[in-house]
Amino acid sequence: MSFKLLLKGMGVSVGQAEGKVCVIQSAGDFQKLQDGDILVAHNTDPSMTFIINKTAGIVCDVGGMTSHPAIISRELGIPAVVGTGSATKILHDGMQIMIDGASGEIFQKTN
Amino acid sequence: MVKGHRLMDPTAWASPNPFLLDPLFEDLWLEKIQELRRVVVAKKINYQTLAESISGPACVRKEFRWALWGMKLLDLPVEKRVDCISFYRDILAVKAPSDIFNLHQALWHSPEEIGKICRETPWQKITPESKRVVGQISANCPPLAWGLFTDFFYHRAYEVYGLYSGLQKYQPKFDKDSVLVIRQFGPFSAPELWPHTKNYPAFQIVVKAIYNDIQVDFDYINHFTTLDNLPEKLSWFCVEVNGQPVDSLDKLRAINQEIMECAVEQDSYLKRLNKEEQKRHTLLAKFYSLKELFAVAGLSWKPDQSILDRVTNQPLLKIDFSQFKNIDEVESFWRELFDPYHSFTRPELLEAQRQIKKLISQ
Repeated sequence: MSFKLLLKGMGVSVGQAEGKVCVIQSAGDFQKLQDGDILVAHNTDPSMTFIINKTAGIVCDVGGMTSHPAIISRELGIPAVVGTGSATKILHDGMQIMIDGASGEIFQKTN
Repeated sequence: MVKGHRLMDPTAWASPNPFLLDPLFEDLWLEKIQELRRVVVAKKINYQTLAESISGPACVRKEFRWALWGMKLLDLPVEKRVDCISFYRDILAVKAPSDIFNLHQALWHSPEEIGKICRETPWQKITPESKRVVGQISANCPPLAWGLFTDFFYHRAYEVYGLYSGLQKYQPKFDKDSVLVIRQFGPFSAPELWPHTKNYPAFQIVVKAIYNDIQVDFDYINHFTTLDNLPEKLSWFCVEVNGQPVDSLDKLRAINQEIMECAVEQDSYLKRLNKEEQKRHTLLAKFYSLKELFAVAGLSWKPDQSILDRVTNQPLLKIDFSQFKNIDEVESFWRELFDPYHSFTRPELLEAQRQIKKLISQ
Protein backbone atom coordinates (compact mmCIF):
# COMPACT_ATOMS: atom_id res chain seq x y z
CA MET A 1 0.00 0.00 0.00
CA SER A 2 1.37 3.42 -0.90
CA PHE A 3 0.18 6.99 -1.17
CA LYS A 4 0.58 9.23 -4.20
CA LEU A 5 0.22 13.01 -3.79
CA LEU A 6 -2.66 14.11 -5.99
CA LEU A 7 -3.49 17.62 -4.96
CA LYS A 8 -2.63 20.33 -2.50
CA GLY A 9 -4.78 23.03 -0.98
CA MET A 10 -5.03 24.86 2.31
CA GLY A 11 -5.37 22.69 5.40
CA VAL A 12 -8.02 24.36 7.55
CA SER A 13 -8.95 21.69 10.08
CA VAL A 14 -6.31 19.39 11.49
CA GLY A 15 -6.25 15.61 11.39
CA GLN A 16 -5.99 12.91 8.78
CA ALA A 17 -8.80 10.88 7.29
CA GLU A 18 -8.95 8.05 4.84
CA GLY A 19 -12.05 7.25 2.88
CA LYS A 20 -13.89 6.96 -0.36
CA VAL A 21 -14.44 10.10 -2.43
CA CYS A 22 -18.02 11.28 -2.87
CA VAL A 23 -18.24 14.26 -5.22
CA ILE A 24 -21.24 16.49 -4.52
CA GLN A 25 -22.19 18.68 -7.47
CA SER A 26 -25.82 19.30 -6.51
CA ALA A 27 -28.49 18.30 -4.01
CA GLY A 28 -29.26 15.30 -6.21
CA ASP A 29 -25.90 13.82 -5.17
CA PHE A 30 -26.57 13.94 -1.41
CA GLN A 31 -27.99 10.42 -1.28
CA LYS A 32 -24.73 8.98 -2.69
CA LEU A 33 -22.74 9.91 0.40
CA GLN A 34 -22.16 7.06 2.86
CA ASP A 35 -20.97 7.36 6.45
CA GLY A 36 -17.21 7.83 6.48
CA ASP A 37 -16.89 9.09 2.89
CA ILE A 38 -14.78 12.14 2.05
CA LEU A 39 -17.07 14.90 0.80
CA VAL A 40 -15.64 16.67 -2.24
CA ALA A 41 -17.43 19.80 -3.50
CA HIS A 42 -16.76 23.13 -5.16
CA ASN A 43 -17.83 24.68 -1.85
CA THR A 44 -20.14 23.57 0.95
CA ASP A 45 -23.32 25.36 1.96
CA PRO A 46 -26.08 24.95 4.56
CA SER A 47 -28.06 22.59 2.32
CA MET A 48 -25.32 20.02 3.03
CA THR A 49 -25.77 20.18 6.81
CA PHE A 50 -26.99 16.57 7.16
CA ILE A 51 -24.39 14.98 4.93
CA ILE A 52 -21.51 16.96 6.44
CA ASN A 53 -22.37 15.37 9.78
CA LYS A 54 -21.72 11.94 8.19
CA THR A 55 -18.41 12.67 6.47
CA ALA A 56 -14.91 11.73 7.57
CA GLY A 57 -13.40 14.78 5.88
CA ILE A 58 -14.07 17.64 3.47
CA VAL A 59 -12.25 18.80 0.32
CA CYS A 60 -13.30 21.91 -1.63
CA ASP A 61 -12.18 23.74 -4.76
CA VAL A 62 -12.46 27.15 -3.13
CA GLY A 63 -12.32 28.62 0.35
CA GLY A 64 -9.99 29.98 2.98
CA MET A 65 -9.33 29.63 6.68
CA THR A 66 -12.67 31.24 7.57
CA SER A 67 -14.91 29.78 4.88
CA HIS A 68 -18.01 27.68 5.54
CA PRO A 69 -16.36 24.23 5.35
CA ALA A 70 -13.44 25.43 7.48
CA ILE A 71 -15.65 26.67 10.31
CA ILE A 72 -17.85 23.58 10.28
CA SER A 73 -15.07 21.00 10.07
CA ARG A 74 -13.13 22.52 12.97
CA GLU A 75 -16.23 22.32 15.17
CA LEU A 76 -16.83 18.71 14.16
CA GLY A 77 -13.16 17.81 14.58
CA ILE A 78 -12.83 16.38 11.07
CA PRO A 79 -10.00 17.26 8.67
CA ALA A 80 -10.65 19.64 5.80
CA VAL A 81 -8.69 20.96 2.84
CA VAL A 82 -10.01 23.93 0.85
CA GLY A 83 -8.78 26.14 -1.98
CA THR A 84 -7.54 23.17 -4.01
CA GLY A 85 -8.71 24.79 -7.24
CA SER A 86 -9.67 21.57 -8.98
CA ALA A 87 -10.65 18.84 -6.49
CA THR A 88 -14.01 18.26 -8.16
CA LYS A 89 -12.24 17.66 -11.47
CA ILE A 90 -9.34 15.51 -10.26
CA LEU A 91 -11.14 13.41 -7.64
CA HIS A 92 -13.83 10.95 -8.68
CA ASP A 93 -16.48 8.96 -6.84
CA GLY A 94 -15.09 5.84 -5.22
CA MET A 95 -11.40 6.83 -5.23
CA GLN A 96 -9.68 5.88 -1.99
CA ILE A 97 -7.87 8.94 -0.66
CA MET A 98 -6.20 10.22 2.45
CA ILE A 99 -6.41 13.90 3.35
CA ASP A 100 -4.17 15.79 5.72
CA GLY A 101 -5.96 18.77 7.24
CA ALA A 102 -2.73 20.28 8.51
CA SER A 103 -0.56 20.20 5.38
CA GLY A 104 -3.46 20.49 2.93
CA GLU A 105 -2.25 17.44 1.02
CA ILE A 106 -4.53 14.92 -0.64
CA PHE A 107 -3.14 11.48 -1.45
CA GLN A 108 -4.49 8.59 -3.48
CA LYS A 109 -4.16 5.17 -1.91
CA THR A 110 -2.61 2.72 -4.35
CA ASN A 111 -1.78 -0.97 -4.01
CA MET B 1 -9.00 44.04 9.29
CA VAL B 2 -6.23 43.26 6.85
CA LYS B 3 -5.30 40.22 8.94
CA GLY B 4 -8.89 38.99 8.80
CA HIS B 5 -9.20 39.41 5.05
CA ARG B 6 -5.96 37.68 4.19
CA LEU B 7 -7.53 34.48 5.57
CA MET B 8 -10.53 34.69 3.26
CA ASP B 9 -11.13 33.50 -0.26
CA PRO B 10 -13.51 35.99 -1.92
CA THR B 11 -14.35 33.46 -4.63
CA ALA B 12 -16.09 31.42 -1.93
CA TRP B 13 -18.32 34.31 -0.84
CA ALA B 14 -22.01 33.99 -1.56
CA SER B 15 -23.61 36.49 -3.92
CA PRO B 16 -24.46 39.33 -3.67
CA ASN B 17 -21.27 40.36 -1.94
CA PRO B 18 -21.90 43.55 0.13
CA PHE B 19 -18.51 44.92 -0.92
CA LEU B 20 -20.16 45.23 -4.33
CA LEU B 21 -23.73 45.92 -3.20
CA ASP B 22 -23.36 48.35 -0.27
CA PRO B 23 -21.55 51.07 -2.24
CA LEU B 24 -24.66 51.45 -4.43
CA PHE B 25 -26.48 53.02 -1.47
CA GLU B 26 -23.68 53.87 0.97
CA ASP B 27 -24.37 57.64 0.80
CA LEU B 28 -27.98 57.02 1.85
CA TRP B 29 -26.94 54.54 4.56
CA LEU B 30 -24.50 57.12 5.94
CA GLU B 31 -27.34 59.64 6.12
CA LYS B 32 -29.34 57.15 8.17
CA ILE B 33 -26.40 56.57 10.52
CA GLN B 34 -25.90 60.33 10.83
CA GLU B 35 -29.58 60.68 11.72
CA LEU B 36 -29.10 58.01 14.39
CA ARG B 37 -26.13 59.92 15.79
CA ARG B 38 -28.11 63.17 15.87
CA VAL B 39 -30.96 61.53 17.79
CA VAL B 40 -28.50 59.86 20.19
CA VAL B 41 -27.04 63.29 21.00
CA ALA B 42 -30.42 65.04 21.17
CA LYS B 43 -31.89 62.45 23.51
CA LYS B 44 -28.66 62.26 25.56
CA ILE B 45 -28.37 58.50 25.00
CA ASN B 46 -24.95 57.41 26.22
CA TYR B 47 -22.64 54.85 24.66
CA GLN B 48 -23.19 52.45 27.55
CA THR B 49 -26.87 52.25 26.57
CA LEU B 50 -26.00 51.77 22.91
CA ALA B 51 -23.46 49.07 23.73
CA GLU B 52 -25.88 47.23 25.99
CA SER B 53 -28.53 47.19 23.28
CA ILE B 54 -26.47 45.02 20.94
CA SER B 55 -26.06 41.31 21.58
CA GLY B 56 -22.51 41.18 20.24
CA PRO B 57 -19.78 43.26 18.65
CA ALA B 58 -19.30 41.67 15.23
CA CYS B 59 -22.12 43.45 13.38
CA VAL B 60 -20.84 46.84 14.57
CA ARG B 61 -17.28 45.91 13.62
CA LYS B 62 -18.50 44.93 10.16
CA GLU B 63 -20.19 48.29 9.67
CA PHE B 64 -16.98 50.00 10.76
CA ARG B 65 -15.27 48.11 7.94
CA TRP B 66 -17.88 48.73 5.25
CA ALA B 67 -18.15 52.40 6.20
CA LEU B 68 -14.45 52.83 5.43
CA TRP B 69 -14.82 51.17 2.04
CA GLY B 70 -17.99 53.12 1.21
CA MET B 71 -16.64 56.49 2.30
CA LYS B 72 -13.45 56.04 0.33
CA LEU B 73 -15.49 55.16 -2.76
CA LEU B 74 -17.48 58.33 -2.18
CA ASP B 75 -14.17 60.17 -1.86
CA LEU B 76 -15.22 61.81 1.39
CA PRO B 77 -12.57 63.85 3.23
CA VAL B 78 -10.38 62.04 5.76
CA GLU B 79 -11.92 63.99 8.68
CA LYS B 80 -15.39 62.84 7.67
CA ARG B 81 -14.25 59.21 7.36
CA VAL B 82 -12.66 59.23 10.79
CA ASP B 83 -15.61 61.00 12.37
CA CYS B 84 -18.09 58.49 10.99
CA ILE B 85 -16.23 55.36 12.07
CA SER B 86 -15.64 56.86 15.51
CA PHE B 87 -19.35 56.26 16.22
CA TYR B 88 -18.88 52.51 15.81
CA ARG B 89 -15.53 52.55 17.60
CA ASP B 90 -16.98 54.35 20.63
CA ILE B 91 -19.74 51.76 21.01
CA LEU B 92 -17.19 48.96 20.87
CA ALA B 93 -14.86 50.74 23.27
CA VAL B 94 -17.48 50.67 25.99
CA LYS B 95 -18.16 46.95 25.68
CA ALA B 96 -14.71 45.58 24.89
CA PRO B 97 -12.23 48.15 26.19
CA SER B 98 -9.40 45.65 26.49
CA ASP B 99 -9.40 44.72 22.81
CA ILE B 100 -11.84 46.74 20.69
CA PHE B 101 -11.00 45.08 17.39
CA ASN B 102 -10.09 41.56 18.55
CA LEU B 103 -6.45 42.12 17.71
CA HIS B 104 -5.54 39.32 20.10
CA GLN B 105 -8.66 37.76 21.61
CA ALA B 106 -12.43 38.23 21.59
CA LEU B 107 -12.84 39.40 25.17
CA TRP B 108 -16.32 40.81 25.66
CA HIS B 109 -17.06 39.71 29.24
CA SER B 110 -15.71 41.33 32.39
CA PRO B 111 -13.62 39.27 34.87
CA GLU B 112 -16.61 39.40 37.24
CA GLU B 113 -18.89 37.91 34.59
CA ILE B 114 -16.37 35.17 33.81
CA GLY B 115 -16.00 34.36 37.51
CA LYS B 116 -19.77 34.06 37.85
CA ILE B 117 -20.01 31.85 34.74
CA CYS B 118 -17.26 29.54 36.03
CA ARG B 119 -18.76 29.25 39.51
CA GLU B 120 -22.46 29.02 38.69
CA THR B 121 -22.64 27.08 35.41
CA PRO B 122 -23.70 23.42 35.88
CA TRP B 123 -20.68 22.05 34.01
CA GLN B 124 -20.81 18.58 32.51
CA LYS B 125 -17.69 16.47 32.13
CA ILE B 126 -17.15 15.53 28.52
CA THR B 127 -17.76 11.96 27.30
CA PRO B 128 -17.23 10.52 23.80
CA GLU B 129 -20.98 10.85 23.14
CA SER B 130 -21.34 14.39 24.46
CA LYS B 131 -18.17 15.49 22.66
CA ARG B 132 -19.81 14.57 19.37
CA VAL B 133 -23.13 16.29 20.00
CA VAL B 134 -21.54 19.50 21.37
CA GLY B 135 -19.40 19.63 18.22
CA GLN B 136 -22.46 19.07 16.04
CA ILE B 137 -24.49 21.82 17.70
CA SER B 138 -21.52 24.21 17.37
CA ALA B 139 -21.13 23.22 13.71
CA ASN B 140 -24.81 23.28 12.75
CA CYS B 141 -25.93 26.58 14.28
CA PRO B 142 -23.75 28.72 11.96
CA PRO B 143 -25.42 27.38 8.77
CA LEU B 144 -28.80 28.36 10.20
CA ALA B 145 -27.44 31.85 10.94
CA TRP B 146 -26.11 32.07 7.36
CA GLY B 147 -29.47 31.07 5.96
CA LEU B 148 -31.30 33.70 7.97
CA PHE B 149 -28.94 36.64 7.65
CA THR B 150 -26.78 35.73 4.62
CA ASP B 151 -23.11 34.87 4.46
CA PHE B 152 -22.28 38.44 5.50
CA PHE B 153 -24.60 39.34 8.38
CA TYR B 154 -24.76 35.96 10.12
CA HIS B 155 -22.99 37.44 13.15
CA ARG B 156 -26.41 38.71 14.00
CA ALA B 157 -26.91 35.13 15.28
CA TYR B 158 -23.36 33.86 15.74
CA GLU B 159 -20.72 35.28 18.06
CA VAL B 160 -17.72 33.61 19.67
CA TYR B 161 -15.92 34.94 22.73
CA GLY B 162 -12.67 33.91 24.36
CA LEU B 163 -10.15 32.76 25.21
CA TYR B 164 -10.79 33.45 28.87
CA SER B 165 -7.96 32.01 30.94
CA GLY B 166 -7.00 31.92 34.61
CA LEU B 167 -10.19 30.02 35.38
CA GLN B 168 -8.91 27.86 38.22
CA LYS B 169 -9.26 30.69 40.70
CA TYR B 170 -12.99 30.69 39.98
CA GLN B 171 -13.51 26.96 39.56
CA PRO B 172 -10.97 24.58 41.21
CA LYS B 173 -12.08 21.56 39.19
CA PHE B 174 -10.73 23.11 35.99
CA ASP B 175 -7.13 22.38 35.01
CA LYS B 176 -4.49 25.09 35.22
CA ASP B 177 -4.29 25.52 31.43
CA SER B 178 -8.08 25.56 30.94
CA VAL B 179 -9.65 28.26 28.80
CA LEU B 180 -13.27 29.21 28.26
CA VAL B 181 -14.84 29.75 24.85
CA ILE B 182 -18.43 31.00 24.69
CA ARG B 183 -20.40 30.50 21.48
CA GLN B 184 -23.55 32.55 21.34
CA PHE B 185 -26.05 31.47 18.69
CA GLY B 186 -29.34 33.12 17.88
CA PRO B 187 -31.82 34.63 17.96
CA PHE B 188 -32.91 32.22 15.26
CA SER B 189 -36.11 34.03 14.69
CA ALA B 190 -36.32 37.06 12.40
CA PRO B 191 -39.97 37.39 11.41
CA GLU B 192 -39.40 40.86 9.95
CA LEU B 193 -37.13 39.25 7.36
CA TRP B 194 -38.60 35.74 7.23
CA PRO B 195 -42.19 35.47 8.54
CA HIS B 196 -42.05 31.66 8.81
CA THR B 197 -39.20 31.83 11.38
CA LYS B 198 -41.40 33.08 14.19
CA ASN B 199 -42.01 29.43 14.99
CA TYR B 200 -38.42 28.26 14.84
CA PRO B 201 -37.82 26.19 17.99
CA ALA B 202 -34.43 26.94 19.56
CA PHE B 203 -34.50 30.70 19.90
CA GLN B 204 -31.12 31.26 21.54
CA ILE B 205 -28.35 28.74 22.21
CA VAL B 206 -25.20 29.36 24.23
CA VAL B 207 -22.42 26.77 24.25
CA LYS B 208 -19.95 27.29 27.08
CA ALA B 209 -16.88 25.15 26.51
CA ILE B 210 -13.77 24.55 28.59
CA TYR B 211 -10.75 23.45 26.58
CA ASN B 212 -7.34 22.38 27.76
CA ASP B 213 -4.17 23.52 26.07
CA ILE B 214 -5.51 25.09 22.88
CA GLN B 215 -4.20 27.91 20.73
CA VAL B 216 -6.85 29.99 18.98
CA ASP B 217 -6.64 33.07 16.79
CA PHE B 218 -9.50 35.52 16.40
CA ASP B 219 -10.07 38.15 13.75
CA TYR B 220 -11.97 41.41 14.01
CA ILE B 221 -15.36 39.87 13.26
CA ASN B 222 -14.91 36.91 15.60
CA HIS B 223 -13.85 34.33 13.08
CA PHE B 224 -11.80 31.99 15.18
CA THR B 225 -9.24 29.62 13.83
CA THR B 226 -7.13 26.97 15.46
CA LEU B 227 -4.62 24.27 14.59
CA ASP B 228 -5.97 22.13 17.43
CA ASN B 229 -8.73 19.54 17.28
CA LEU B 230 -11.52 21.27 19.20
CA PRO B 231 -13.61 18.21 20.24
CA GLU B 232 -10.47 16.41 21.41
CA LYS B 233 -9.43 19.33 23.60
CA LEU B 234 -12.88 19.82 25.13
CA SER B 235 -13.07 18.92 28.83
CA TRP B 236 -16.23 20.51 30.28
CA PHE B 237 -19.29 22.03 28.66
CA CYS B 238 -22.72 23.46 29.21
CA VAL B 239 -25.32 24.04 26.49
CA GLU B 240 -28.05 26.53 27.35
CA VAL B 241 -31.21 26.88 25.32
CA ASN B 242 -33.19 30.05 25.94
CA GLY B 243 -31.23 30.58 29.15
CA GLN B 244 -31.82 27.10 30.56
CA PRO B 245 -29.00 24.53 30.83
CA VAL B 246 -29.78 21.26 29.05
CA ASP B 247 -28.25 18.29 30.85
CA SER B 248 -29.77 15.41 28.87
CA LEU B 249 -27.81 14.05 25.95
CA ASP B 250 -31.01 12.92 24.27
CA LYS B 251 -32.40 16.44 24.51
CA LEU B 252 -29.19 17.85 23.03
CA ARG B 253 -29.43 15.39 20.14
CA ALA B 254 -33.04 16.44 19.56
CA ILE B 255 -32.04 20.11 19.59
CA ASN B 256 -29.26 19.39 17.11
CA GLN B 257 -31.73 17.59 14.85
CA GLU B 258 -34.08 20.60 14.94
CA ILE B 259 -31.23 22.98 14.15
CA MET B 260 -30.17 20.89 11.15
CA GLU B 261 -33.73 20.72 9.82
CA CYS B 262 -34.19 24.48 10.22
CA ALA B 263 -30.80 25.18 8.58
CA VAL B 264 -31.67 23.13 5.51
CA GLU B 265 -35.18 24.58 5.30
CA GLN B 266 -33.90 28.14 5.68
CA ASP B 267 -31.25 27.57 3.03
CA SER B 268 -33.99 26.51 0.63
CA TYR B 269 -35.86 29.77 1.31
CA LEU B 270 -32.70 31.73 0.58
CA LYS B 271 -31.97 29.82 -2.62
CA ARG B 272 -35.49 30.40 -3.93
CA LEU B 273 -34.84 34.15 -4.14
CA ASN B 274 -34.08 35.52 -7.57
CA LYS B 275 -31.15 37.93 -8.09
CA GLU B 276 -33.18 41.07 -7.34
CA GLU B 277 -34.73 39.46 -4.25
CA GLN B 278 -31.26 38.39 -3.06
CA LYS B 279 -30.04 41.97 -3.33
CA ARG B 280 -33.05 43.24 -1.45
CA HIS B 281 -32.68 40.60 1.27
CA THR B 282 -28.97 41.28 1.72
CA LEU B 283 -29.70 45.00 1.99
CA LEU B 284 -32.43 44.35 4.57
CA ALA B 285 -30.11 42.04 6.53
CA LYS B 286 -27.57 44.87 6.77
CA PHE B 287 -30.11 47.30 8.19
CA TYR B 288 -31.58 44.61 10.46
CA SER B 289 -28.14 43.82 11.87
CA LEU B 290 -28.19 47.17 13.72
CA LYS B 291 -31.89 46.98 14.58
CA GLU B 292 -31.36 47.47 18.34
CA LEU B 293 -29.23 50.58 17.89
CA PHE B 294 -32.00 52.21 15.86
CA ALA B 295 -34.59 51.02 18.39
CA VAL B 296 -32.76 52.65 21.32
CA ALA B 297 -33.00 55.95 19.47
CA GLY B 298 -36.65 55.36 18.63
CA LEU B 299 -35.93 54.98 14.91
CA SER B 300 -37.04 52.31 12.49
CA TRP B 301 -34.33 49.96 11.28
CA LYS B 302 -36.01 49.68 7.89
CA PRO B 303 -34.51 51.33 4.81
CA ASP B 304 -36.42 54.13 3.08
CA GLN B 305 -37.95 53.40 -0.30
CA SER B 306 -35.29 55.61 -1.92
CA ILE B 307 -32.63 53.13 -0.80
CA LEU B 308 -34.53 50.15 -2.16
CA ASP B 309 -35.10 52.05 -5.41
CA ARG B 310 -31.38 52.79 -5.68
CA VAL B 311 -30.42 49.11 -5.88
CA THR B 312 -33.39 47.79 -7.85
CA ASN B 313 -32.26 46.60 -11.29
CA GLN B 314 -28.90 48.23 -10.65
CA PRO B 315 -25.85 46.08 -11.47
CA LEU B 316 -23.39 45.45 -8.64
CA LEU B 317 -20.08 47.25 -8.55
CA LYS B 318 -17.53 45.51 -10.76
CA ILE B 319 -14.32 44.53 -8.98
CA ASP B 320 -12.44 41.25 -9.17
CA PHE B 321 -11.44 40.27 -5.66
CA SER B 322 -9.58 37.15 -6.76
CA GLN B 323 -6.92 38.68 -8.99
CA PHE B 324 -3.94 38.38 -6.66
CA LYS B 325 -0.94 36.17 -7.16
CA ASN B 326 0.43 36.10 -3.63
CA ILE B 327 -0.36 37.02 -0.06
CA ASP B 328 1.61 40.29 -0.23
CA GLU B 329 -0.68 41.51 -3.02
CA VAL B 330 -3.72 40.43 -1.03
CA GLU B 331 -2.56 42.39 2.01
CA SER B 332 -1.66 45.44 -0.03
CA PHE B 333 -5.11 45.44 -1.67
CA TRP B 334 -7.07 45.21 1.58
CA ARG B 335 -4.84 47.75 3.31
CA GLU B 336 -5.53 50.29 0.57
CA LEU B 337 -9.22 49.48 0.61
CA PHE B 338 -9.58 50.11 4.36
CA ASP B 339 -6.94 52.71 5.24
CA PRO B 340 -8.96 55.85 6.09
CA TYR B 341 -5.98 58.19 5.77
CA HIS B 342 -4.91 57.46 2.19
CA SER B 343 -6.75 57.78 -1.10
CA PHE B 344 -6.99 54.97 -3.61
CA THR B 345 -4.11 54.49 -6.04
CA ARG B 346 -4.90 51.05 -7.47
CA PRO B 347 -6.54 51.27 -10.92
CA GLU B 348 -9.39 48.90 -10.04
CA LEU B 349 -10.30 50.90 -6.93
CA LEU B 350 -10.17 54.19 -8.82
CA GLU B 351 -12.43 52.64 -11.47
CA ALA B 352 -14.86 51.55 -8.73
CA GLN B 353 -14.85 55.12 -7.45
CA ARG B 354 -15.77 56.35 -10.93
CA GLN B 355 -18.63 53.82 -11.13
CA ILE B 356 -20.07 55.09 -7.83
CA LYS B 357 -19.72 58.78 -8.73
CA LYS B 358 -21.57 58.11 -11.99
CA LEU B 359 -24.35 56.22 -10.21
CA ILE B 360 -24.91 58.90 -7.58
CA SER B 361 -24.90 61.71 -10.13
CA GLN B 362 -27.71 60.05 -12.10
